[in-house]
Amino acid sequence: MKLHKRILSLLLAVGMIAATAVTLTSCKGNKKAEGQVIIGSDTEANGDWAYGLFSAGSINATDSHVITLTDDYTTVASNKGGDLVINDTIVKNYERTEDADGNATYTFEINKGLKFNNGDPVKAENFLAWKLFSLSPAAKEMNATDSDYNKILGGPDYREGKADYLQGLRLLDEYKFSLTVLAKGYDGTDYLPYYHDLAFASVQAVNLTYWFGEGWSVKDDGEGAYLTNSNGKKLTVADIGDTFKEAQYATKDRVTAGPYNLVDFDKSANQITLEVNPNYAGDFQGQKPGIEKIIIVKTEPDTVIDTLATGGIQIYSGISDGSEVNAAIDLIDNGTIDSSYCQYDRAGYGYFAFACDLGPAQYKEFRQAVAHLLDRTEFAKTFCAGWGGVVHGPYCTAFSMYDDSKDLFADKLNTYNYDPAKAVELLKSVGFVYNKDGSDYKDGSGEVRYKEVSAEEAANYESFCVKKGDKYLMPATLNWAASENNPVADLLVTMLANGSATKEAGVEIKQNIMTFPELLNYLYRQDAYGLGGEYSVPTYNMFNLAASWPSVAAYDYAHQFTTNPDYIADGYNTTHLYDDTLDKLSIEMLYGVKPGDYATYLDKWQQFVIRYNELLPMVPLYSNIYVSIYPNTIKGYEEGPFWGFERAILYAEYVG
Amino acid sequence: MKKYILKRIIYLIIVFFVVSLMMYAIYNLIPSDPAMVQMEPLRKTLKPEEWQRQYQALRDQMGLNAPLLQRYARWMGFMPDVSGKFEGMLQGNFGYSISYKRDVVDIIATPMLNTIILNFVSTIITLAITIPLGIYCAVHARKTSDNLIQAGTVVGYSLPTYLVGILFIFLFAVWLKIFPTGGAKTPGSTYTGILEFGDRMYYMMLPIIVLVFTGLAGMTRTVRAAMMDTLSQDYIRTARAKGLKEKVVIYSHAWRNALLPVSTSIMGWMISVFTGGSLVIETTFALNGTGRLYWSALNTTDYELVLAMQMFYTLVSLVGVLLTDLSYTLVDPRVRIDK
Repeated sequence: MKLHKRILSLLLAVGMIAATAVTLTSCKGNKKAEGQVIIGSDTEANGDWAYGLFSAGSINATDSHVITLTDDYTTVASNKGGDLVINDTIVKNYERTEDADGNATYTFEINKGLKFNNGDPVKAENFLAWKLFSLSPAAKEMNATDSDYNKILGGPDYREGKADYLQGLRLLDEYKFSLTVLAKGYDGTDYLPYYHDLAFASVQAVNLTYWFGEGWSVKDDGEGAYLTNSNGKKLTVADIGDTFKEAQYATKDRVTAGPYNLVDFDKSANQITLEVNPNYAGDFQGQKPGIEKIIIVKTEPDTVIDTLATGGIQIYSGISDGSEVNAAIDLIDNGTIDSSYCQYDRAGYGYFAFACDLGPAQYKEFRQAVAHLLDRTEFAKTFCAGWGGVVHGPYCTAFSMYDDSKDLFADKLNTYNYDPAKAVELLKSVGFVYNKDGSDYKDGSGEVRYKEVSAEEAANYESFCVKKGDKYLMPATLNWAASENNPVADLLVTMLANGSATKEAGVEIKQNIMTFPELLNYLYRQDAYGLGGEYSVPTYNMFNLAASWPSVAAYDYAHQFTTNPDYIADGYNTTHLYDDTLDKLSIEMLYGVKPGDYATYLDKWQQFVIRYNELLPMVPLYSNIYVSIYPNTIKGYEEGPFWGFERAILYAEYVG
Repeated sequence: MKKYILKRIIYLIIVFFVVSLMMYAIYNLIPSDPAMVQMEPLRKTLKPEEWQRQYQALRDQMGLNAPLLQRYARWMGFMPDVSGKFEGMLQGNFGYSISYKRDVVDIIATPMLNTIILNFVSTIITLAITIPLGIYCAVHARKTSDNLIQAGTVVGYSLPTYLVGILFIFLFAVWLKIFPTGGAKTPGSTYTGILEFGDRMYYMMLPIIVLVFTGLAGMTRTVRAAMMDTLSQDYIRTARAKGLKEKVVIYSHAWRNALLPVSTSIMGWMISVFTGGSLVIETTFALNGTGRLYWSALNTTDYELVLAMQMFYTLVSLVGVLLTDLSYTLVDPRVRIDK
């Protein structure tokens, strides 16, 4: 009997261990992937898989989804909080060393046994190949826009073809390589120390045969890595042209190393089919996909809710329009679709910015007064249909820095509540106390206020001003460049420009509707088109815009408050707020803080936000709460501000 | 006849080049800078001087600093480009799309095919309905049935296509669940052959229904007017007086004569819908067609793509007019082109 009990106990123990093992394994997604989901995307895929090579940073959103889902073997990854981390699934050992000049060398040893989806092994040379190509003379000839040559050791010589090898990239052995970034770049920029310098060490594995053709490999004779083929030939456009183009625009059978394989991109139907890659080793946390097939289809904004209601799509990710959010949730609530939703704060906000060197916008008090004339809480509530809130500076609530600054910000940040009386007080304090004829302004008259200014202060705004001897009377008038067909601009007209508080305070806002590209021309004040300098003349001092950060590392305001005229001429400091403290903080916050020194970074960041909030070069209007709908056939689907559909789906499991 | 066609082709070529120069000049007046588009993302990663240097180098490389006429000559292929090669439209290079980052010729083919299929099917169905309907209305002019048909078809004509599209989506897709709301094929399907064709047609059916519904009134009225005009002619009265059956009078005598103005309308209509696409339909039903491509290119100031499409439309229109004129000889034996 005792023996039976012991055997039973043993069996139970074994069973429990096995069950635990199975559970743990399934947590990592090793359970066989099954099922499919259909996701809608309102961006039409271009089908360009060259990782933004020809226009860095402007990669199409749907293309970007596909690249992330199919190409994931990078040395550095972005975690759910938007912070950069070493990808431990790929990297076995990582070391960062610094020489006396502050130049940093990042050495990686990658894990053995990693494979591309076609079974080819992933080795060190695969991580060097893309960088060696994108910085090569051949890529330059193809108008590639990778600018890393300025910060990688030996970059310019390699790019110009003066050196056959790239000194800063080293192939150390079959599974080991290094990358050296200069503290002071060839263009004179101080690249290091840089708080998010891990971004510089991010390189991606690509299959050489697939992208460049048969026989290409990476070699290193001790001076630097280089691409060569079996005949010892250097890489040229003529050699790789057709092969490269085929790989760049492939519609199926891409050789990649990510959770999914591109099975089909049907351009005529705007439909992309992805299937699980059995060779995938997992993301930076070892997570493997639990859903076998993903289909991305094109949707239209006007009919997307109908498409969701009829099952044409199952996942509708990142809905920002409040009324659409409500419509989608209604479908769930009334049982039309068997789905759930997750919500998260947007890592960004909509705002209107001032040109702080033009007209009344040059006065801090005036800018603050305008902020007090708008009920931003009501604005956000109306615009986001309840799915949004307000921030009070250049930050988003999703930042970990924000979590660590809540108390400080509650104490230090001006929330610019709707307060017309305060606005009037501020306007008076800065001298807007006259009528157009120079007589004293009577509060509540509804007329526009004027301020006596010098000719220098009135520069470029004379057409709005009244000349009075060698002085001018400048009106409290903002000349607003508003983008066309923009609901934000429409609501701003109703709540601010035509608002009764604005009129009663004696402020006037003139709306000038234009296309968004034209708005940007005026914002950058660049005469780029040889049309006679129209845009280079300061004309507008208010612009409605939006900001978003795909990761915490993307938060970089360096030079955005520069006083250097060369920088300004090239489009930096579009708010034209010339404040040395803000300029210094914006640079020191990142380029002066050692990686990992969070306390210093946080301190500088907080100072920056507080100073920004006081000087107010822009007024934040709303920060959305995004909502994503997903079917109940999957579970574990959880998006976040820095964790989009392509990440969330990897952690989801098909339950049928 | 040959001489006439040759003369018309020479005119056509001259008009084509004049239009191309005008188009090129107009689009070049609009502020757009492909070099800027390409360099804009690098603004934050390059130092201003370096950015400016690269930007200017790119402008030089793209030939953007040359005078307008020189740029036109290069674009058309009359002059060698910066690299010294003749690579213009005449050599088959229709330009480079800055938003799609590939040659224009690689972009246009797929949406063009979709547009042609969509419009071909809808045009055939529309004609199959409107021609008999127009004849019927003309024969029963001002009777109740004619009035009802006139009123019914004018509804589709009066309502904006966008609204009809949305209403039909609600009716046929959301409520009756007969058709999908949009798209071009079943998500994830791997059909081939007849099944693939059937699937595509199933997805295209709702937009086709909308196109047919909105297109009924125009052609019905054209046919009706032409038939009524013909039916009032003396020779029709003579034919009836001779005791011919009404069907013979209508289909043998009246219809052939009424066909002349109708054929002109049909030819022009078909050319425009085949090539021009339908922005509204394609956008409402998430279809990848030329109307949508053209709109998207305009919005992204992708003018090489816009110009290439514009020139294609110009060419098709010019050829279409020639074909329309020539088609007169087929439908009306009285028309002879000798000069």
